[in-house]
Amino acid sequence: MIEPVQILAAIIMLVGIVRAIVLLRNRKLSGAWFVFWILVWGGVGIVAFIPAVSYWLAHLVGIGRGLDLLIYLSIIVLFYLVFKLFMKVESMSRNITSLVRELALRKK
Amino acid sequence: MDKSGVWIVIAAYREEKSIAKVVQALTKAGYQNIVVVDDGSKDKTFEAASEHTPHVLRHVINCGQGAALKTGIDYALMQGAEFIVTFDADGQHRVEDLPAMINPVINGEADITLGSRFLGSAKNLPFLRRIVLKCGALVVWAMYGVRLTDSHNGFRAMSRHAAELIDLKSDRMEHASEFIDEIKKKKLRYKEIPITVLYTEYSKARGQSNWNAFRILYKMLLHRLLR
Repeated sequence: MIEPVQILAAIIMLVGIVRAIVLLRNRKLSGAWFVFWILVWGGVGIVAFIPAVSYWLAHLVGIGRGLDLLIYLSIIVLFYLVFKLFMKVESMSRNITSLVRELALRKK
Repeated sequence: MDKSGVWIVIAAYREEKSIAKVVQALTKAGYQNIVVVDDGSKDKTFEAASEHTPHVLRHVINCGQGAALKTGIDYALMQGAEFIVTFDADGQHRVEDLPAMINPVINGEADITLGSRFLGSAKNLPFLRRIVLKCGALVVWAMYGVRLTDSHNGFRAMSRHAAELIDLKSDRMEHASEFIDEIKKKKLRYKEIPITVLYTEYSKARGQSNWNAFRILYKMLLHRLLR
C-alpha cells in the first residue's frame, strides 16, 4: 500500500536529485555539495519508502521515534546552512567594500 | 606648528548641510590637506566638499564609517602624510582642539592621541548617551584591556607610522573599538586628550542611535569569536 505522502516524497526526491545533477553539469555546484544534496534527497526517499530505517537509526542514537531523529537532524543541518550563508554574506560584503574602496582611490 | 605634513581625514555620509562649514573652518585655521571621503551619499555631500578641498573621494555605495576612514587614511598615506587626524563631519569637533591633539604626536610623546569628551567637556550631552558611552568604555576595557575615559570618540591624531600599522577590518561603527584593539596589539603609545564635543540639534539628529550600541557590541563579540 503506497501512501499519498510517499508519492509526494518520491516527487520531491526526484526533483531534488535531477536538479542537483543539472547544477553539477552546469558547474554551478561543487562535487562536495552534489554529494551532500544527493544524500539529503536520497535520505528523504529511503525514509519515506522504508520507514523502518528511521526507527532503526533513531534507536541506534538513543532517540525514541524516527520522526524525532529527522527533526533533530533537520535543525542541525539548517543551523549549519544558516551559519554558512551568514559567513558567505559577511565575506561578500567585505569584498564589496574592498572594491568600493579601491575604486574611490583609483578615481583620484 | 608646521601644518603642511598634517592630513585631516573626514568620513562623510549625507552631510551636505555641515561638511562645507567643517572643511572651511579647518582651512581657515591653516590646515591645507583635508581629505573628505563621501561614503556613498545620495545628497550633495560630494559637491559641497569639492568646493572647499581638492581631496574628495567617493565610495560609489555606502560602506560604513570604518571603511570610509580607511580609504581616507590610505589616500593621505599615498599623498605622503606625516600626521593623520580623523575628524567628524557633523560639526561635533572643534578646530581649536586640533593643536592639543596633534602636538603630542609631533613631539613624539605618543603614536596616537584619542579625544576624550569626558576629560574635556561635552556640551549638551544627552543623559542616556552618557550612560551608553560609559558602558562602551567599560566593554572596551573588559575586552581589550585598555582603560579609556571615552572609547568611542571620532577625534584621533596619529603618526604616519601608527597609521601604517593600524589595520582596520570593521567597515561599520565597530571600527572605533577596533582602533583600540589595534593600538594594544601593535603596542602603540597612546594618550587621551581632553576635547570638547558639541551636541547640536543637527548632530543629535544625524548621529548614532543609542540602540546601535548593541549592534556594535554584537559585532565586536563576533569578530572576537571568529578570529
